[in-house]
Amino acid sequence: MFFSKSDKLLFYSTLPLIGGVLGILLILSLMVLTQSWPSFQRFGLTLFTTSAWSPSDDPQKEFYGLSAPIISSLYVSALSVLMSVPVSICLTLTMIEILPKHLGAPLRYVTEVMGGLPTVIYGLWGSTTLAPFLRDQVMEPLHTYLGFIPLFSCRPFTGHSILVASMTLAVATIPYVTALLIEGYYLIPSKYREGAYSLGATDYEAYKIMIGILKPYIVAASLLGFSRALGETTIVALTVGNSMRFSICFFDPVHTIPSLIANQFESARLYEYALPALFAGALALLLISLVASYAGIRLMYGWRERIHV
Amino acid sequence: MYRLPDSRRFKNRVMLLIIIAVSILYVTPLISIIYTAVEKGGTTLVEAGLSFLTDLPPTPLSSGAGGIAPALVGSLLASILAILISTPVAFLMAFYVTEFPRHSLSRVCEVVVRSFSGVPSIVVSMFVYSTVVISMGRQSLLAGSLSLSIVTLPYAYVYFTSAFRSIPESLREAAMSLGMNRAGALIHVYVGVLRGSIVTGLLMSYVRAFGDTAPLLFTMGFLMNAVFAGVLQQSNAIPLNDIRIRAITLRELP
Amino acid sequence: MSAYIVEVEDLHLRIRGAEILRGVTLRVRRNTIFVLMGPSGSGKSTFLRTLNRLIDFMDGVEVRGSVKVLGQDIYSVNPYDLRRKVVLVSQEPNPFPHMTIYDNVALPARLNKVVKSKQELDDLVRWALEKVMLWDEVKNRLRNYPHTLSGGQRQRLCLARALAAKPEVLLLDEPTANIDPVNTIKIEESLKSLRDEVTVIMVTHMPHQAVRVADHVALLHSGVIVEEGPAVEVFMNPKKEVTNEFLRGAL
Repeated sequence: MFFSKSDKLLFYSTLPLIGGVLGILLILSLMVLTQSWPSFQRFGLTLFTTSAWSPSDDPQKEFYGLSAPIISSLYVSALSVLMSVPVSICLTLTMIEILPKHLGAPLRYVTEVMGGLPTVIYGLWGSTTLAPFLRDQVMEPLHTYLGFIPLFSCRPFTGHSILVASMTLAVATIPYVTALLIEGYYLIPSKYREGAYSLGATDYEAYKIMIGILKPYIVAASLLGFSRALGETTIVALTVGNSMRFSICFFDPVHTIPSLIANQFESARLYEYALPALFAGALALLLISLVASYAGIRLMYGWRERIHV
Repeated sequence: MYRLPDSRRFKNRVMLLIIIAVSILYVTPLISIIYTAVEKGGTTLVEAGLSFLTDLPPTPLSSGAGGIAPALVGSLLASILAILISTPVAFLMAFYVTEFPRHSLSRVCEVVVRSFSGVPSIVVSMFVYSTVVISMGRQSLLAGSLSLSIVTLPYAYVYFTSAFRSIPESLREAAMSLGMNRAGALIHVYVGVLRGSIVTGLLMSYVRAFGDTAPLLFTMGFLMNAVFAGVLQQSNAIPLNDIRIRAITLRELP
Repeated sequence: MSAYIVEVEDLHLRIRGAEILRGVTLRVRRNTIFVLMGPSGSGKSTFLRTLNRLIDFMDGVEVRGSVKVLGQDIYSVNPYDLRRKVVLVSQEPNPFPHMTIYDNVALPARLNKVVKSKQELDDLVRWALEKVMLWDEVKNRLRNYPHTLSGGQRQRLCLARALAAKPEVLLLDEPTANIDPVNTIKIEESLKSLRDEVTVIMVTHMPHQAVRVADHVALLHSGVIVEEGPAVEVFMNPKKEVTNEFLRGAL
């Protein structure tokens, strides 16, 4: 590993840098834990089993429960992944296979550019354009005619809801997932594509084989997209409706942990247990997000090794 | 000659159309987003003219759209500062990890930093708030930049590790056989080879920093009455401006 | 009906301006093993891919001349139809990693829905695997995945998969180039038994292999056919110096 003394010097002089960065990330995680500790002491597990946000000047009367925001975070993120992954797969195929080069490349650029767009623009669009549109054209009719289905059983009000939030999130995460899928697609050794066509497969059949080979990678990309969606603040804060109520109905407003934090952080300083409660939510979010990311990354590396067999 | 059964031919055509249709499905919201942004933002810009970029925001008593100068400056400065910190660090880290891949520290680094690329940016904001803002006593441009740099670091790192790994082995061998040590190879060879990647990395990180709101939420402050008060003072940012104004208008609804 | 299943007349091929084939003419009889020999880089693999129009997928391809398979010009038929009957086995084994051994072999039949029942499919898979002498080795692990097989077994699996498509012409691109000697012999033995089912056009850069399996050979050098004829004749009495050099392993 070390070819010379100067290499050793290089190693040990950059070591602090790496250690420093890893240290900051470690301190970050620890800090989230310690800052949330008072809320665990005070509320115990009810933090995660009930749903409430009742600050009070009297610390004895404060009560917070995060069950609804946590579940809604998972729900909204999962919905957005379910919506964005199929679209990303189709986009990838369209860009790489179906379109001729001079059309596929621009489409790819456009998608990359949209990926760099500030999330606040997505949020504002979701709030001012998508929400009213969906409420009038989709939610009201669905509620009126199919209201017996639990997912449609609530009355849409402003339009800000689980549905709008997850759809806007989906549109915002499609560039990210598509970029991952494109990278993965190009990693597939070309001999498999040749093999598919050599057997007389039609285009669609060949794509089915390629996507089949890509499947574990697609799962990994979904996990990473899920992790991304979980932590997204701006978009949800503007579109999710900001209600502590628990609901699975698409048209109901809810809170996700990020939107809750965004809404309550400033005023939380005035109360004793509000800030720790928010940190507890952040802790839950951090853990789930890290686990999902880690799983996704491990899957990706494993897949990369297996296909070169 | 064998002729493909019509069912197979048909299925092929139909599925291809579906795939393309779904892709178009994505392009539609894109157009809507761009249209909305241009329509609503464009009209304001046209009405207010160039002064929109250089004026202060309107006070409650003044008429007119005022300007977004503090926010604009804040966004620009915070992003620049952030990438000035995170890009070199990410670059060096990527170099380290690709030079000594078998060392346990490299492996840990890979796993940890990549996992943290999914960290909710709002948690980073809370972290910087609890450490920097509290100890400094106020929100500031500096805090916002630090927040942004923590968020952009993992992305720049992932990008630079790919860049370093794409350096052909033959180039490395050439450098080594000319008697360069690893550091020398970096300075004389790799940096030149990766010139384009460095620039792209900087730009990419900048774009990400400029657009990310959450890290700034609790750290930047809300400066309304001056364009720039110093790195250690409060500042503003375009996304924050948008959100706050939006929040104010939302609260005004019954 | 022509005795020749493949007829190539004055085939010129350019890829991005570079001339790969400069007027190739040859004819392949049905149910024979036709071996195309030549040094590395002579254009053999590309020629093979011209026969089933896989080169359509490359950029900057210009084709001149006539190629007929089963009496029809290949550019007048649907390429997907063509590839169903002219099946290529690549040099590097490429069994689909996400499908079981059984599913790999069954794939062509499933795509075509030619097989009506599960039993017929089982029989077809068994037949194909027996032809490549792989059946005994995998009959108890048909549900396993290809990565559990050795390189040589994987190549035989790909051969079985190609056979299961019931092609008219089997194109083999240096099928044993990456394979150990034991598997090489097995593959060569299988080829000899396949003559009744298909016509084999095989590419190799190893003269010894050509000697072992060919009925008919041709030497491709610098984009043209330098010599061709029945295997025995060419090996015994090469007419051109180039052929001699190749056979002695000098090229």
